[in-house]
Amino acid sequence: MPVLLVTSDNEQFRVEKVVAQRSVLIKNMLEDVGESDQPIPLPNVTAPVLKKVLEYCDHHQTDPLPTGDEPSADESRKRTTDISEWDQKFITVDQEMLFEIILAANYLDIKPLLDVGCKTVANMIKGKSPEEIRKLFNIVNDFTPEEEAQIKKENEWAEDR
Amino acid sequence: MPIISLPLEVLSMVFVHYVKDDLSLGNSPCLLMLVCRQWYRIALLTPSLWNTILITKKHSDYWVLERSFKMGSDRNCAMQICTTMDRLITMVSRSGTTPLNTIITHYHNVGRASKLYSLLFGPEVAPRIVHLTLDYRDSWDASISASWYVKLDALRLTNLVSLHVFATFWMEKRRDRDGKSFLQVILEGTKNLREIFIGFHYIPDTIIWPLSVISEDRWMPSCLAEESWEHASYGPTMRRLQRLQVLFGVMAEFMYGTDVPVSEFTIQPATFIEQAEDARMWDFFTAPWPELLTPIMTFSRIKTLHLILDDISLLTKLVLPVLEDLRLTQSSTYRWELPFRHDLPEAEFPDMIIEFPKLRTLRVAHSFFGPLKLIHAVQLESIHLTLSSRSIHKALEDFLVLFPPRIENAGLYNASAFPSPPNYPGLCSFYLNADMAEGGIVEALKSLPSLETLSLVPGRQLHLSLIASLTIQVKEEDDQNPPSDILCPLLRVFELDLYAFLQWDEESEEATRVGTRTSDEFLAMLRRMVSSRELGYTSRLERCAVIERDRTRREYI
Repeated sequence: MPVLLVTSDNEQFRVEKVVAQRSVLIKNMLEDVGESDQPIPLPNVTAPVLKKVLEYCDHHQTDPLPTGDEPSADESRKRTTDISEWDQKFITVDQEMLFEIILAANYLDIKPLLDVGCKTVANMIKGKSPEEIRKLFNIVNDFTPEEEAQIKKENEWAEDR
Repeated sequence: MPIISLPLEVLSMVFVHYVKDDLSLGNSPCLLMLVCRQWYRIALLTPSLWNTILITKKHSDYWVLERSFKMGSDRNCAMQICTTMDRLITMVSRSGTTPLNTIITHYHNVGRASKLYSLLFGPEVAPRIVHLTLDYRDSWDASISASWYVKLDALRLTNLVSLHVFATFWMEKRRDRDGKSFLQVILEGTKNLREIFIGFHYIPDTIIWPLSVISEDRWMPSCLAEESWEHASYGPTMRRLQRLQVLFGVMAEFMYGTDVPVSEFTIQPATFIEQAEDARMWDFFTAPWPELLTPIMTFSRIKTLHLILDDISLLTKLVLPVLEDLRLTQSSTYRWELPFRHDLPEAEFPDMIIEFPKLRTLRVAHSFFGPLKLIHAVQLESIHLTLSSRSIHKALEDFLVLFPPRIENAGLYNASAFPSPPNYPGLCSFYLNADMAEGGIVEALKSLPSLETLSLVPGRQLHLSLIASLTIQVKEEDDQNPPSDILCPLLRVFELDLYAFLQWDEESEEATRVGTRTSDEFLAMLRRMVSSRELGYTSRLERCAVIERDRTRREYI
């Protein structure tokens, strides 16, 4: 049975339940409401972003659902920043859209998509100096030079002899 | 939309992905702290960024190797390098209550090391340690390093899941109190240990480690041998152990004892050797185990075992009452020599028998098959032999020790030297990859009357006698006569791989894939063999498949 989703800019998306349920938020809503053809409002998501998110959900509709358990110590140690080829292509968007997707995934509670987004941002930071990171994301350096020196000093590897 | 507008918990997730990376040493959260005040706060409030703690000195072997194998530097890596108490206290506090991954290498300043250890292994921090690596490879006197641990009653590492130790034989010898080694002291404090790793790091095949270093570090700590642990206070921990990796090898999913049926024991480089397609891969250093000095050990739960072993008679060191699947791979070290204990051991050790009462599958990649005769396995169903390299003549000689010819050929091969019947009465599946004279294969098959599956990579050349012996001969003028004897009357599957054979050069250094040459009439003979089963007398052949020299696969049935 299809589900009707309404975005903040009032656009309607009719999607298969199995696709919509990749979002834990929507899944819970559907479970709470029961069988109903009431549209589901998504006030935090715009149409272009939802379109993109649904593309992800559609492609991954047969993946096993995350169990919700915290990863074991072993898994968390082995976490990698690998992203599958399809996901890689999917997430190749401009910075603005990337952050929108991450926000939407966070709001809609789609853990695998949130992970892909966060890994992508992490990969963008890798190998860059603090100054390059600031430049990349338009971040203002609000440290005083003294504070900066102090942080550097705190984190130096001082080997005592 | 600026990155600043992402919620804090999302940025925190980004940071975690940034810091942790399997393929490199990861990235330092300290770098993120330098970006802006907001990032500084988020980094400090994300404990899992700080939970990998390394106590080392700059030039420790561990640290030098880590940096050369994985990308990373002192300044930018996920490990929080702690050489002072202040720094260790800071990191322990930043990591909150998250599980700790702690790595300790030999530290030159004994007094300072002792203080750092006391904090880490104290009652507040020790229960948080989940992964512990101790690396004392470059300790000038390893027993001093060990002495710190043996002074303790027990380390209360109640949540330790994995323990990696790179140490030397001498460290275990140091037993200051109650005759306990440092490893015992550690084991006594654990309850949930799932993995123990003892030995060296995985070393890429481009680096050949100096032999002297390797030989010193090859040890199986005696407290891990079953007799020692079974009644020890850490016995219950050992029973729950899933993975034990010792020396150079991996013993995967390995469990001792009698309660848990899952058990697999693999020495990892063995798989490298098995996949070797050229001499280069054989150069990967591999150390055989067990050795002459290895004590006799009982492994009452191992069902699957994969070892690197040169001298097959050393299997007497291992008592394996429930072993079902055994793989033996010869090490690269002695591949081309003929170590004195390897050949015809019966003459030297007339009473030696290696008993595997439950063994069903035996797979061997070796240059010497003869000593396999020592293995008595009444339930053996399948044998898989790959002869790595020898002259065709020597290979045949060796092969016929394992499969003694029937008495009528006694004139040819001195029958009195091989009086016993085959040790594998129930063998029904046989794989052979060897440059072997065809007559030898035929002779061997004669001693395997219940064979159902025959799979061959027959060496340089295959004539017609094998196929002829598998073909039912009927006199055309009188088909009422029973057909002639055929080899393997119960054969159901016959597979022939004419592509895979590797030929080695005279120095046995280089291998080229040459495949197997056959005579012109071979395929016609094969078809006759297949059609002869339709005569309906004895042949049960259900499948006949050939991989041709050009690698095309043909099914004849």
